[in-house]
Amino acid sequence: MRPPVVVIGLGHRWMGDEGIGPAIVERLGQVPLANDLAEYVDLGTRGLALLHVIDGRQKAVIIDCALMGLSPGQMRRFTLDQVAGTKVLSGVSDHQADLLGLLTLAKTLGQLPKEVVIFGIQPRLVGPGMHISEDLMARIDYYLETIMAELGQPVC
Amino acid sequence: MGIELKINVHHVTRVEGHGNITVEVSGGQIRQIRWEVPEAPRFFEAMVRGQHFTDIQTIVSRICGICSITHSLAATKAVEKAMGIEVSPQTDTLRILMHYSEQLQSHILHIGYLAAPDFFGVPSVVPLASSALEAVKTIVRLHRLANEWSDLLAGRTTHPVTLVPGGLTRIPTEQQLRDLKQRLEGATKDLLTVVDVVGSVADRIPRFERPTEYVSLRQLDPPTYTFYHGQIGSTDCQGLVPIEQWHSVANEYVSDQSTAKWCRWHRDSYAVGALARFNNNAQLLSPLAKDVAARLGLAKGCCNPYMNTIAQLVECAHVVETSIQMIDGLLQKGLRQERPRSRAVRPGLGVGCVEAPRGILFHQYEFDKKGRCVAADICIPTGQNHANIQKDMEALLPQIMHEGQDAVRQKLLMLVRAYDPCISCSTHAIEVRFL
Repeated sequence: MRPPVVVIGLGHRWMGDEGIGPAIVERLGQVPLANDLAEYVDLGTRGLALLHVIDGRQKAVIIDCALMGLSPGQMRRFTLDQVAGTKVLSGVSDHQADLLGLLTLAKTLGQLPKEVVIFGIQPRLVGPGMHISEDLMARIDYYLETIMAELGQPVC
Repeated sequence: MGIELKINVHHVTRVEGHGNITVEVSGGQIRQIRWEVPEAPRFFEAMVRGQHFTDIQTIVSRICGICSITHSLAATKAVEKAMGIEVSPQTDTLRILMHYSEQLQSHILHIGYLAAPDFFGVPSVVPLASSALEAVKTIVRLHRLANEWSDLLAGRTTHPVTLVPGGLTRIPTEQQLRDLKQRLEGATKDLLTVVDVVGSVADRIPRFERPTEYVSLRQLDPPTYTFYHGQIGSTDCQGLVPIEQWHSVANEYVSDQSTAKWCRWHRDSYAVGALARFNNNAQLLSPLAKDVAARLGLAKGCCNPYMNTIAQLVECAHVVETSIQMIDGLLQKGLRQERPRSRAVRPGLGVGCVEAPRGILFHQYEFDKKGRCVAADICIPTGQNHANIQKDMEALLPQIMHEGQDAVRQKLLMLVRAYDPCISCSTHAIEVRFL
């Protein structure tokens, strides 16, 4: 039986701040949760597999690097109805997946969890390298605490 | 007044990576028709130099996010050849089972997400879900099965971690194999649903034929529709070429319209992939796969490149049906915990060759006496198809240019997509504005 909540880190860990989602999920995975409430998934760049990991869940919490016009390191919580995608895509493939498009697809398929929460983190630099910018690393505890609070868990 | 066309597609959509199409027809005369690959080289062959032989398969798996198992298998086979390591029959079967998971994963991705929107006249799978809900649900279900099948055998969906020279670091339990078998048996029904859906739109597959050479692995002993063992075969010659002589097959050369090398053998281009495998080995398909081919009108000798997508669907049936038999065989013998085999490190050269979903793949490595890589040479399937795509376009354009700009553009896009080219990797950041 799958846990009712899934926490998903999206992004490419070899592309600088693009890897902030998986980096946070890795840290969250080291904190035990009560009652097997949530499963943590480092989805990396396997965008299409998002459809598989959210299927059958009550809630999905997605953490991703997001270009939102904010200052580097700023995190913002939003739901699907609060944003419009501005990413220009040439289609959907394993090389080009758009989170919002995939969530829309999941909704059409009737496989969208009741609650989907996205934590977007504004990057400083997206480019080759496994280093996450200091602007983001300085706030890592804040990110973890906010997401744990979202899960209704005591702050670690 | 003659036909006027000016088409510049930068980049082709719904393919893995970036490629361009440029067409110019003026006064009914074709001035230009080009398939271009503008992506920067990635230098994997240089990256592995100096690396220990035990690390090669892990590094080169990163060549691709879709056929990473295939690259790892080709590299592992090459390393084992160089080091003189022979794996156990159980390891061999489990690796083939792992390889089949990727064939299904990649083919279903192409059929359902990349090619199907063309058949239904929509830009992507997202709007397709509104008009063909059950079909898309079926595709998602099959894709998930293939991903989880890879997880089980390879340790994760992409970039396998269980593959090492000499064996596997982890194998599934017998219960996990029984569960997998049950899911594969259930998948047969889903595959037939996809066959029905594709059959219902098969009249939208362009009717275009251009005889060319089809190159793939062929395995005679025992006769097998092979993705993993065998020697190099071609529809243009009877005999088989040992994989160690792959350079005499690929004959790579540089084209000024591509950052990827082009290939040619008996003609000025050749094709690899599902249709090539089918044309060389169709008589060896599983019963279900033969049935699917017959239902979708695919027969040996087909030279319509658009039918490559159909050949992929035929292969989906083959790998599912054959895997069920392989699991039965493993369970009958009983799984044994085996340590990866090893031998004393030695200098040497090895070639590994397997069929990637997109076609035949060659990996060659040379090692020094400490087991450090001193040279690497990798030839990927999409690179082998580039010249054939160009020749197809040159033959197709005169036949369709009277159909108008939009129709020509669409048929050229579909042609490229039919080859399921896998050109590179990119990033996936989201971009939003707040309402």
